[in-house]
Amino acid sequence: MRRRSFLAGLGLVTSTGGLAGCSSGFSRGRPEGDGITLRMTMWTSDPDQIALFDEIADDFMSQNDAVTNIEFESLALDQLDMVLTTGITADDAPDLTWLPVESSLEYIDADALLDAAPTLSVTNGYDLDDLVPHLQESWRHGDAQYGVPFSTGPFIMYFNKDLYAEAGVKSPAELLAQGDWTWESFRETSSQLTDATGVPGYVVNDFEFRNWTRLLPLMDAYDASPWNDDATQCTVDSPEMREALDLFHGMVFEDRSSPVPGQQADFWGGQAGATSAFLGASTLLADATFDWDIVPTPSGPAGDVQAVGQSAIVALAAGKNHDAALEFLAFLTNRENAARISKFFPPARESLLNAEVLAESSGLLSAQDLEPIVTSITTKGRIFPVAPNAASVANALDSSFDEYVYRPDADLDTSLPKVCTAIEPVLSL
Amino acid sequence: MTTETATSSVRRRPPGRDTGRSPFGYALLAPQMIGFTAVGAVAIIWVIWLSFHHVNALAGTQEFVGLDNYGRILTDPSMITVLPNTFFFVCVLSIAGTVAALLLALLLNQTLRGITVFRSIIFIPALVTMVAWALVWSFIVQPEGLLDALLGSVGIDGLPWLRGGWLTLVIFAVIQLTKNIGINVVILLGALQSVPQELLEAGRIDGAGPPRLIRSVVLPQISPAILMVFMLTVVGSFKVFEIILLLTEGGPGVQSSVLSFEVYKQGFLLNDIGYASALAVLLFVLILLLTAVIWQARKRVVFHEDD
Repeated sequence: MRRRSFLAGLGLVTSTGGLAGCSSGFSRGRPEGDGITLRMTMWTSDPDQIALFDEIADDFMSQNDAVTNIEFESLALDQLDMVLTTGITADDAPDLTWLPVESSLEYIDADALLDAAPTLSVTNGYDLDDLVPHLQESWRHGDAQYGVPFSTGPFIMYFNKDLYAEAGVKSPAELLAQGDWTWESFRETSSQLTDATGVPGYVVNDFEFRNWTRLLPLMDAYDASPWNDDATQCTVDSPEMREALDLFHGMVFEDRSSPVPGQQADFWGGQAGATSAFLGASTLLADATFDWDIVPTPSGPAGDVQAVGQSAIVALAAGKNHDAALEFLAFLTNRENAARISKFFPPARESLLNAEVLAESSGLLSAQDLEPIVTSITTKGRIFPVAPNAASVANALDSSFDEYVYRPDADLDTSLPKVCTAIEPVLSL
Repeated sequence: MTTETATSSVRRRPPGRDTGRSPFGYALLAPQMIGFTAVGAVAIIWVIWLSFHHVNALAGTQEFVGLDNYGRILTDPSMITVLPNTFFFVCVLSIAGTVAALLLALLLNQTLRGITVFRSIIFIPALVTMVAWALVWSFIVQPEGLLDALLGSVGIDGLPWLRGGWLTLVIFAVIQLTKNIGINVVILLGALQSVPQELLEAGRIDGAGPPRLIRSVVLPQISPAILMVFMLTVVGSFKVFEIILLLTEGGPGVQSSVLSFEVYKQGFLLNDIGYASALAVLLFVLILLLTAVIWQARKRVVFHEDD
């Protein structure tokens, strides 16, 4: 119960979280203020998260007389690029934003982000060395730091305990306890659950065959990636990717244990056996009428590798208040506020990234519960692959997967090279 | 004497182009024209200007590239699918939409008891938003949805309605057509009810049966309304967008995409504003040309237009 309450409050909507809301903007400010107004976009509508950012904004303004108003604008993650590019074009860009790691390289290459390193290094008590180096890689180029991650967390597997009990099938927790928690065994039990109950054994959350990053738990377990390390060459046609997608294709079109394209299945409403999602999705289970639990995503031939999403707070070069924006960025991500934010989002600070400290800041979840999450982030985690031209590459990848792979008659030996043909022109731009 | 001459001159002026025009009329038109200029004309000119540039929206830079963006349209492999899809909707929605609306209007023009109920039913889809209409249809055509269940009840396997190819285009055409047909029916119904009864009566006295009356009296009389409905559906069918965004996002690949959706995708999803502008200009020119052709053809097909 304590864990559920924490998970419900955790609200982790990491880099590609699907919980984004569309509530209107909200602001903190001194009514008499005629100084600087900062604007920041973020993809959350969680009242608790908004309240926390409000408090931090108030604290910042109490220490910084020049800034008299801070406006937070909530939007859906899939609107972010559109809102930012429109704002930049119209000379009305926000000063700061949350940015998913997939977009980091594209924004940095376009000189759209401000280098925060000079500000962070002169901010009293910031403790730059406390930022975990390997979790900053996507945001650091040389000495420059173009953003500070505030959320770094893995996909986890949610499962419906009632459905597994009803089907009389070994649950993911039981497979994990037996040391047989692999994608192969999960495919088998999912198929058994579907045969017994008639509902899908596994649904990929927030996927709908249009968001390839949702397959990363499977791809990472097979050591598969759409492109090589420096994002110059397509590797969709690699044997590892073929093996991973063969399993997924089999679940969808042979076993029918996962929904086919266009088919609706809502795990959160009790219509599926399991789903892989970020921790923040647990808020959707606040009123669940079934018993559920969580485990890490299954392992594969590459071992126990967890796909980790990440989001950072960045200051935009197109914003009008560079100095104030960078100071607020430093304030938001200093150790004290990172600890406050870690109540909702797993941090990327060494001093905070251990189960005991996180348990203390959460006040709801035990260190034992948090240990697997911390381990995923620190040792077993693999952050989402990043490519230049992120928007074009993601579109080409999703589009060609949909056209060539997500079909019942797809022959992966011939389909996967076609996917490479589709994404290589945009990958090499 | 002078005044008298001037007055008689005014009286003798034959009806011409300026008949009925006055500053007051122009004043009434002004708000609309100011709005069009500010929102329409300026935007069109800006889009044309952008179409000659490579725009990096993130960097905030614009580089003049001449006709490169237009050249890309010719070499873009997705256009091999997107342009035929666009013209498929134009042909099917304009012709089938106009014919279906006309047949329904003729049916609903009967003086039967309770006919207003049927008129209301036909018009109801026009009252809901396209988004709601598309979402309702998504439940109908999704795998194991209502349509599959209906077919299953008569022993027919469900089909992949939204998985591309002609089937998906036909489904989209049906969704779009049923959404907008109510408005067209109302326009044609209004025209049908204004056909002079004496003309119909004269036809009957001359021995014409219902088919002949429709062909020789009704259709010529309502031909201006038919032309208007046809032009509206032609222009509207170029702008099929919401159902594609909500149901397939143009996929699989670009199999269900059209020009208007590609403009949105390139401009707002892929940040390629220059290329999106070139596609928008192409769309604009296509609509303009087709509208001009239809407008010119009106003299041949519309009763009294050549008077």
